[in-house]
Amino acid sequence: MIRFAMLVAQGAPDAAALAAYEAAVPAAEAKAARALLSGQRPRRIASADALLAWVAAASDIPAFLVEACRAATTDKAELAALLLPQAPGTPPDLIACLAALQSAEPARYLDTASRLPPEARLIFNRLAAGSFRTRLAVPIETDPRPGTCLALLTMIDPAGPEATFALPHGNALVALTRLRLTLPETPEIIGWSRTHTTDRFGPQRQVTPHLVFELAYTGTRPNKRRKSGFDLVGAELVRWHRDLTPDRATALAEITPETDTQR
Amino acid sequence: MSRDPILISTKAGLYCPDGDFHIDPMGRVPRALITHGHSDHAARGMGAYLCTAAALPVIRHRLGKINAEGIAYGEPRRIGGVTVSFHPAGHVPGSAQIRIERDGEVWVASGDYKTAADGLCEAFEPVQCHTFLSECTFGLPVFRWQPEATVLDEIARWWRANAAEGRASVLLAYSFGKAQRLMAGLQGLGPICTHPVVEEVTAILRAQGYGLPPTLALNDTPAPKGALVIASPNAMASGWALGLGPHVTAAASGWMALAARRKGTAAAFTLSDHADWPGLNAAVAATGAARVLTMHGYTRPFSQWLASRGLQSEVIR
Repeated sequence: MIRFAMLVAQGAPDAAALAAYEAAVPAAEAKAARALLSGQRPRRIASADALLAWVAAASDIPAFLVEACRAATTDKAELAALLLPQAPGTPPDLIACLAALQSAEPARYLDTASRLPPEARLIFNRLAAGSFRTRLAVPIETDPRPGTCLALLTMIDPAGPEATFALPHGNALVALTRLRLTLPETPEIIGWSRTHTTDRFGPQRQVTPHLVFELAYTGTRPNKRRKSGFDLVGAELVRWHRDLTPDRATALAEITPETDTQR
Repeated sequence: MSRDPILISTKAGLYCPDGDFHIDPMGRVPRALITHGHSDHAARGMGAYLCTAAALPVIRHRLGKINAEGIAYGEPRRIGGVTVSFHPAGHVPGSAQIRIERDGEVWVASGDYKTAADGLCEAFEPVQCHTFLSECTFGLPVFRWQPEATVLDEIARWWRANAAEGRASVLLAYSFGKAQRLMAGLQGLGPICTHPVVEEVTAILRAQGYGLPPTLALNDTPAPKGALVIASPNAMASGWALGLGPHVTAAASGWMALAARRKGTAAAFTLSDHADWPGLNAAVAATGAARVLTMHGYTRPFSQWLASRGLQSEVIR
């Protein structure tokens, strides 16, 4: 389970990460992971609220403290993962975790969850609560989207920090989406932008479109109000590709959805 | 114990009226007792400084020309109507808790502290007291650290994997304390490089005798193949990183326990120089204090928790 959690810790894994994972785990686990990442999920055993209640009761944490912790965490699945003290014992693997999810017994859940380290426990909780959403980002077999693209950084707001990413369309760049800059290299990117600013719009800096970023997204939805003609749904910043030059950016046409013919 | 409090909160920082000194003041005061050299504890502009002899070199380096004196851990010093002494806080090299005694009544100001030992700094020592002023940066039960060895193993694995792909591994960490703790814990596994700011502090601590490996400062030079590079987040914003060559970056901080802080990072390691929830509770219990004043961080919930456990507790500042 630890390996699987690491694989999906940053969202959808790329093909290389998936291959490395599959080479490192037994075939049965690789198969189970594939199934999860292609959208076959275990039935949820309880709501995140219920998991949290089980954890709070088991770890004897008063309600006011659970409440104080809520603001620090993203959601109840994470809160339940972090509140549970770790128990000694071998951490269960993915197969054992999935087996534990055959039962909705609090004791079974707590026994399994408590032997996992917190980051793996978070993924286990998402599976248990039915909120695990990660799907393969690489186009596998027939499905060309759930997908990724290589976009150029065109605008940056260091205060956010947020950035606008664009794709080439003919000789122009068309804004694709705006995302919060969450990469560890963010300070470096902001530093770079200081010396590569071509214009300013309030707090926004327009920068030379040199830096290439990999974005993952779950789909596209036509939207005439966008310059691109569509919304990028579920977009996430995956990584900065220092090794790539701007000419490697994905052409806008490559990811433009089929036009809706029903007017 | 119905006398005036030994420490009170003032605009400049914690103040001891009977000794006429401040602890870790941020406003200019005549006499400052400093727990450690981080900039939110050691500021310029004080008339006189007193800190541990172990903390002094870094404080001098950071603050420039100051009127400062170093004192040994545990050495009592009479100041006005009180006796003070400094005791290891386990936070960074030279860091201290400050014990203040007045006619048999003892208060301890914790400064920043970490109860679990690391391979570098003086290990935390609980100090018996009546009133404990405890930091609580991570004073919520969601913060529970893995053993240091587990985290260092994870970092070593990440470093090895990057090296195998021909990339340098850049670890972002505070230039004083965390940076040196990482190099001490990861020494012997490969070449370790530093940003010049990290290198300056490292050289000072190495000269003091802390067990630090040899490091190579990078001044607009590419990192050697497979190297670990330790830099502060600020340094990465300076453009310095552009000269490093192919590399991947990761953060090492207690805040990485939270998914929101990890989001989008290529790698993140939860490694803190502060006590976690069990550590804070253990430290409070070990002082034997009946009264705990909470400062820095999750002061309200931590204080409310302590009160629910039968201690007198309130937030200070």
